[in-house]
Amino acid sequence: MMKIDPARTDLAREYKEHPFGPHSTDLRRLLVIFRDGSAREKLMVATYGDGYCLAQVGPKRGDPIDYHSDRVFAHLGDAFWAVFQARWEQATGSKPAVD
Amino acid sequence: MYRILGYADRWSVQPGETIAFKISSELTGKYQARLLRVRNGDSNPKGPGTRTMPVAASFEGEYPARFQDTHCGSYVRIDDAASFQFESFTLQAYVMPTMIGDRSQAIMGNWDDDQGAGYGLILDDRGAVALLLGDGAGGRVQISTGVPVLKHNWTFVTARFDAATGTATVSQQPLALFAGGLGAGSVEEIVSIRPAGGGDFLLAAWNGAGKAAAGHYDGCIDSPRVASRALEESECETLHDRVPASLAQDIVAAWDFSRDIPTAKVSDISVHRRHGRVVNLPTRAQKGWRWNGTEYDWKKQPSHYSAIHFHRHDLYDCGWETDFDYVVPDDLKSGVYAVELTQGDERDTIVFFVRPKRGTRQSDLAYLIPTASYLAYSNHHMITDWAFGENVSTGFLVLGAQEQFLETHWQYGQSNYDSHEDGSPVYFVSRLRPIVHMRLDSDIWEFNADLHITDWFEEKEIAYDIFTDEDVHEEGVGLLADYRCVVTGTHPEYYTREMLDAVEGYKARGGRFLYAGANGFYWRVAFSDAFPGAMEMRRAEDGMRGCYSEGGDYYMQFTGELGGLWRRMGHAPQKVAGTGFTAQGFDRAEPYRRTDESEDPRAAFIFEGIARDETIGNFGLVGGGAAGWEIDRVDFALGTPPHTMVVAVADTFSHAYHWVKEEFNHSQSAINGETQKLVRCDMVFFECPNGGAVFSTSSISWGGSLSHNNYNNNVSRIMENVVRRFLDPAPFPPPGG
Repeated sequence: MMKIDPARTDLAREYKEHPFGPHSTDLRRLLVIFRDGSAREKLMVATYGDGYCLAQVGPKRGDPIDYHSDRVFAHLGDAFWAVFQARWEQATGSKPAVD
Repeated sequence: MYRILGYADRWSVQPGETIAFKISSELTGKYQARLLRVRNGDSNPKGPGTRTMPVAASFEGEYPARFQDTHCGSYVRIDDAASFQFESFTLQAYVMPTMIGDRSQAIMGNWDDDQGAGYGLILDDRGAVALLLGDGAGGRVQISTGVPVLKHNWTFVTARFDAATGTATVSQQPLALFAGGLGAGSVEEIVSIRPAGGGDFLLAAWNGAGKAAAGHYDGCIDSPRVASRALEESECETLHDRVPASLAQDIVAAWDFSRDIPTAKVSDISVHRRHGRVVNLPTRAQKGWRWNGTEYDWKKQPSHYSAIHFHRHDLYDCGWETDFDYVVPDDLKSGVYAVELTQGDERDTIVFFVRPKRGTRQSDLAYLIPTASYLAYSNHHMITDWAFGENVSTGFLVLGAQEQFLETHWQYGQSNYDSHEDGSPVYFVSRLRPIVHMRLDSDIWEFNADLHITDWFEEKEIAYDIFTDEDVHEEGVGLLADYRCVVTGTHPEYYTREMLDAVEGYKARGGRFLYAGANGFYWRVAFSDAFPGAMEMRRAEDGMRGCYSEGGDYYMQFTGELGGLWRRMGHAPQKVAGTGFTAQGFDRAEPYRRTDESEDPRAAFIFEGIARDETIGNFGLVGGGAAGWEIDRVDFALGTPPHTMVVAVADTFSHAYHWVKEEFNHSQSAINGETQKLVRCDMVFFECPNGGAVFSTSSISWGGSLSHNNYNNNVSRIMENVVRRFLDPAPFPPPGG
């Protein structure tokens, strides 16, 4: 499998600027890796009130959902950027160094 | 959200019939109920928005709110409780558990967990076989082998109790032999307690609080037997296939699950005929301990399919009490309706469909609501539980209100897109429960997408009669024969043999069939008279699927029919509508462009008012275009009629569109919209015998484009051209005629 290079912050910046695409081939490949796995294995975006937050579905069916409600996003694109950063951190150990 | 919820006892109702509504609320006080006629259920502010009209109804008013519980989990209940009260006994069966070690589970017995009374053969919380005994007065003992059974392996389990000596013997022996005796174990203890009392005799559950079943078992049970004394081990071994004469008087019951498979009945082959019934639709026609792979059809070798697979989240019928009925008035127009419930800030809408009275018509156009497809998707957990969900949709997914509710309310059952917690596929779905995906203002997959079309009919003042898939299944071609035009919804994916025959019969009689969707007529399903409101499907062999049937699981228990794709059963979708499922993607939809064939005079009526080089449908509420989400194409080898014209095509799909997997034999790289020419959407037209015709949009996104620019656009124009011509009785001449 392709190794994720934490130095490729250009891909993170590309995603931040265009969360809904279209995306470059390299970013598309990275996103395929980030999107693998069920919701029980990774942070997801959840609707929260009139906005969105990140949330973690429990390992077992019926477990309560853990809402990371300290950050609520008004726009879906911002929530997607937050989950991108979370998946990057899950894969590389640290968030992408992008302002 | 969802603090007040309800469902109806039926989805399709005709004037003069009664429909019952069952409501549960977590709130105290009262709720209000009223009737709405529904034109559009999509609340997207970029479109016309949700449009409903209140209708005076006899039930309108206030009702006391109350909570109604739902008890999921499948099991067998034996009706004759008194015959299972004895002092000494033997319980034995073959079991193949699929989940162990998280809690105790019942195999069989009359154990009453609330009273601590009776007896039960169980798997303890480590998965070891155990016998529970209780006297109902505080005396209780559990005798366990201490050895967890092997999951997914058949194991012969016995529990014997001799009241004269107080000897309890429990044993487990896997059918397969493993080195070191893995999975085998036995224990014998002398106990002072004598079991007394207990409740009904159940298999795969025990009696819980308030008469509800609890302790649900996940896995298969085969050949359960009950005797009224502690048998010798050698005697237990003689009971696998029959009840020998020497034991006839000792055997209390011997159930053969290979009998009466399509029904709710569980048959006792002993002289006593102590039959039982399944509850919550466990899976029957399951490979039993005798199965050796020599026969895949349970009808031909029933003794190999003598197991039942029970699941803790199986659900057939919530069984709620009725809050109010509604007798449909004679003058209520056919259409989509909803009972709106409001209580404080909470709101729910219970959808149902009013069809014309049997044998009458209110219009010349029949709109087929694809309720079998709604059922297949009902209460799905794809977003939480599919490991590949985000790579199917090629985007991060959002846990919306529906997903969050269903994740914390598994008692409302699952969909045909889910697996049970033990990994086995969900074969059964039911409308006898609240279905959160069939509400107004919910997402626009299936139900609310189909209301884009009713909204368009209303806008264009085209009269229509509504029928559900169950109506078509039950009444056949006679239901449709007198309609000049029949229109499908956006995604009529699931079809019974009877439904297909009705559509084919309609076309052969000169009907005009407008396929306003895609991925239609794809999977075979079955309904059951024994379980009204339920539907079965088994995803045998190939197809785009979230789970699949293993070998030996291909034939449906309701009807004995082979499950799977209609394509693999000689009736590919291309035979029905000229086009069939070719690809899906969910980033954006695309426009169509006309083809050279669109200039043929046979197609002139379709494109009246549409310029030759006009881009068709580069707008819409479903992906921003008219061709998209799931798309179909012609295939003459699969059954597209030879005189079919491809009048428009969309073929600019992105990498996010994936070619359907049943079309390629081997993994390879040319599988998406960028690289595979078969990822395209074909708009087609062809004539049928006796002056009929078929027009197919081949796109799920089509309906979402109809309202663009206040319904003044070329997608709406094409739809209107086709519908008006299809309603014109002038026959379509055969090509060249």
